[in-house]
Amino acid sequence: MSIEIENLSFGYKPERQILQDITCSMADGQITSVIGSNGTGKTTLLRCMLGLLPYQGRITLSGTDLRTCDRPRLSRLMAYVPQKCNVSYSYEAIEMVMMGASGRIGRYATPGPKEESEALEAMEKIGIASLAHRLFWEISGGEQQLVLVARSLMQGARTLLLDEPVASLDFANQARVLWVIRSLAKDGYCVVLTSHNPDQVFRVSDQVIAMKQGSILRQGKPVEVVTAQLIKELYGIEAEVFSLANDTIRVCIPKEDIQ
Amino acid sequence: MGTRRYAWFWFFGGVALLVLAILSLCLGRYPISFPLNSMTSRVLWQIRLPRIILAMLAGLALSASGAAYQGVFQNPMASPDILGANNGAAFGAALAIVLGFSSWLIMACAFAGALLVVLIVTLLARRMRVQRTTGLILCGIMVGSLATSGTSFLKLVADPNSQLPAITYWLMGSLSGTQWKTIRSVLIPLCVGVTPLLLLRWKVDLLSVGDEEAASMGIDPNRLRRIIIIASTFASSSIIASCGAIGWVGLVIPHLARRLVGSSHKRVIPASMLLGAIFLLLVDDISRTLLETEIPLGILTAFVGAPFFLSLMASREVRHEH
Repeated sequence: MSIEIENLSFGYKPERQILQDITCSMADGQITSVIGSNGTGKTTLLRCMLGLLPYQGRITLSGTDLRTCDRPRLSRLMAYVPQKCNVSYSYEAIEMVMMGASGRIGRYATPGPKEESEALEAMEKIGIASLAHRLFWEISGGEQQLVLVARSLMQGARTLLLDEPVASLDFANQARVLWVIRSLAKDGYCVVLTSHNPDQVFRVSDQVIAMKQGSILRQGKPVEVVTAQLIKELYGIEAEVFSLANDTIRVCIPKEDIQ
Repeated sequence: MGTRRYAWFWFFGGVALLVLAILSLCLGRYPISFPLNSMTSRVLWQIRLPRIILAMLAGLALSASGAAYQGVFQNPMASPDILGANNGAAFGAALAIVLGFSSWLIMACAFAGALLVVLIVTLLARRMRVQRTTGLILCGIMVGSLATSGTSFLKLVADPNSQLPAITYWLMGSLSGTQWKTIRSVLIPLCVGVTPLLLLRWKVDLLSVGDEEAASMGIDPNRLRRIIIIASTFASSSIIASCGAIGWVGLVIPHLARRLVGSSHKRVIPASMLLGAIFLLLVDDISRTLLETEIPLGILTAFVGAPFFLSLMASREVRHEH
């Protein structure tokens, strides 16, 4: 499965387009990072892909036009992991994961033992089975994020859209969540995530899409795309890109900090 | 919560309800002695049994609606009257009393008043430029207040000797005078309301994580919210129309259910129904046996509900919920 986006545009008003003529593709087994400054349309792009906004253009998943899919089918093709999930009630982590089954079981059905064991399996896959009966709001931010990833696996979708998945997490939890995301890509999942952090792009991405004012500025492999010039164009600050460990990893540091 | 614990909850709850129902048949000013004569038989089957059944149905419907509303509005303080259904029913009933209608028309007007207010609220909320649930709550408060003002005006112009006491008594809620035909008239709208709540109960969980996430998991949150609101309104309005305004049940019982069976609405809604039936049957028994004259239900539910809710607000769970 791969996603093809052709000439995608969206605006709440015709005169004010938020996304303009986006054309790109995302492949299976790869992590695609969408980067750009605040308000540049990264999250709006994800929302269009999820069918939550009425876009112009075409999005296909392995040749299937997403407009032809109803909500339950779309939820089986594509899953969404928000930056943070605020729940109103004290659900157990496994109950949160089981919510992912809603597009697969019947309209009036409730999840039973089969769905419960599937949810446990999804949690085991990313190493959080021990959290199953802990309350969602009592576990750490990183663990909550992993529960939401498990919920997306429960949907049965092979394409995962993650909106700034580590933005509000501490260093260790960021690393933990990114390792899980990387292992899912290795398992063949098509992962699309939005990010503010160029260093993170180097650490996990196979492809990067740099967006500015609703359009794609550049796209390609991180080492080719994420340069000092791109940082300047995207964020308006001077930065330098350093390579570490025999150029297996790169980091971006603002020039001001180096001086 | 484990499946075994949930099964025990139903076992003990079911036994408690059955024992209480049998006990309630024997409670009352007219003593029951065996063998039954025609008078005791009439008291049992024509007066007490319909009343006991209506008490259970009322508790069941108000609690199920309360639990569903709390899930849909993502607000643990929501109750069946959050959209002004109680106020609309009160206005409808007061109007019918002032116009001198029969008891059946009073019931019909109360039901129509509740539905009309909820309909106006949902239509108005669409035009509000705020988040949808906030819009519904705000419109519920405003239209509900208007209906209350209308009721106050009707109380002002009502005949102080006959109509005013009738309105006041209706507003306090009561199950006295329940007949089998009352149950027959309640049963259809109640089933129309409660059945979708039971069928869609688990999906209510999805609404409480937010609309975008719910939509990404394959449901249409607006459509689901609409169905749940209509179903809850039908269930609660059918009870309000026949028993008067019984407050607190729909607010307090779902919280008690959450304490006992966890937070998933898959279990909270059915558990609330069982607990609501037990609670209202118990309160009705107290209301008809505590004093010489019958105490209106609304007064007793407030007496029990308010302190319980205060203790709940001071507890850990609600602090988390906010």
